Amino acid sequence: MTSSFLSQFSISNQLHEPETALLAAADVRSPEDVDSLVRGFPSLASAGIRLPVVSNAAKQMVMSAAYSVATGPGAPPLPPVAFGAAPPPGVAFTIGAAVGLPTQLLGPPPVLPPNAIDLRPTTWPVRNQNPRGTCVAFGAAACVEHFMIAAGGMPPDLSEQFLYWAIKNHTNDPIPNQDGTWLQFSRDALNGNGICPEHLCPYVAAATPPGQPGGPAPSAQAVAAAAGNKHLAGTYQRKPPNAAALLLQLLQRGRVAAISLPVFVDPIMPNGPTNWTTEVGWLYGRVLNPPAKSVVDGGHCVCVTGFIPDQAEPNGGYFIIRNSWGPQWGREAPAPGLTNAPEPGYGEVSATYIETFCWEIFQL
Amino acid sequence: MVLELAACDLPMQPGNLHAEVRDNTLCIPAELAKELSKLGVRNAVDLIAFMSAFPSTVAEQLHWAVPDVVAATALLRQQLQTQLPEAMKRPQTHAEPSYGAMDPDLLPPTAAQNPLGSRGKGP
Repeated sequence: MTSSFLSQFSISNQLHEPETALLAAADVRSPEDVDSLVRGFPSLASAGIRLPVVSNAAKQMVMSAAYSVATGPGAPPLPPVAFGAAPPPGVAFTIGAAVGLPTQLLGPPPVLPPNAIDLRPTTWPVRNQNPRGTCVAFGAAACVEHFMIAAGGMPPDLSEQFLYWAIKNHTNDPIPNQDGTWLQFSRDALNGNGICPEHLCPYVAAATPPGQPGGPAPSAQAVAAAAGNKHLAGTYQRKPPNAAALLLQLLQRGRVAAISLPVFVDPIMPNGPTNWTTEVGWLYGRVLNPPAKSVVDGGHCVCVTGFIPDQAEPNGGYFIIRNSWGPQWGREAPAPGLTNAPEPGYGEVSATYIETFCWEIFQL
Repeated sequence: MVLELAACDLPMQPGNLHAEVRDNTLCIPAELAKELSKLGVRNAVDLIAFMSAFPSTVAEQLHWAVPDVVAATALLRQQLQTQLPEAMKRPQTHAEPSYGAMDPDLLPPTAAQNPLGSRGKGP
């Protein structure tokens, strides 16, 4: 029997008959039930269920309700986040200046999953952001590509160019004329503008003119195609406590996630390698934990595609990341004993690094 | 062969770790090994990469000057020529890649106070 919720959900979102029948068989009674079902059973795609459509419809309903509560009469004010606030405890923090790091990197006791997680599809070539500060668009676009793989079998190639342009031109990004951004605005652009196929808005691999980090405006065809491919975030967290455990839980849903992290250098070599670009970074995709004497030198966003448990790692293991620096980074992977990176272009980041320093986490 | 790091009681002097290869391990001074294990530096390959990229940390740990660390790194690389992977022996030249993520604490309040996304600014 179809519940009143399901009848309304099915009609308002124009679900196909098999989709409605499946949701009825699963006895879903709320949008949370629907989202939980499609997250937990990606194989439903093979039964003709349009997972992105159904999932997005459910999330739209959840979000509408949450938005009414969060912004309606009597809603509590959101906590202010001041410019440059929340430095590491006991540390004087100045933008662009050296930041002494806490010497103790350890987080809470690890919770190890029984097995490694590897969400990579068979064929998914890594991309290259080239000399532009567009890593956030690459990390978020990878989440959408992976999300659409489950529904259609083959990974689509989506336009990071379009997404970055949309971030810089159609969100509240406070630095629209500078390179670099936040995952928060990838989330907003995917929600408000969507993302089009790569061929409709190819990536501009060269540096864009000063003041125009987003590059040229996309065609009307690209804008229209993107509008038909909007996505709502399932999860967005800013500086979450227990970040490694949260990320692990998100991966266990069967979906990849994008994260942003600070990047570190030795203060006496500000133009030297970062902890992402040491020899073992380029060769094996190893991102080294930042030592106490290092300083923040910007930030990077990547897509997390897996996890390798390791008892010797203080927070339980290593997250596998899909970088956006082409296959040259981590080019010797796989190299058992030297790295957990599974293939060129991928790498590993310790759970301790993520637990201690994670800036943002985003997942569809 | 991957040489795992082992903490040993070794005599050392500024500019030379006096590291020793014993079986499948690389013995290094205990005070350095302890610090490196916290940082996930697992083997000889990691060690050379770490010392090259973060000499300040090693210098502080060993109470050396940074040039001593640079010299010790070069010496260690030479000492391990036959044990290092071929890829480590080839000269590496890379343009520094780009990044682009920003610290959420740098967001002005108006942008940060929008947890459910930008609305009404579509194309």
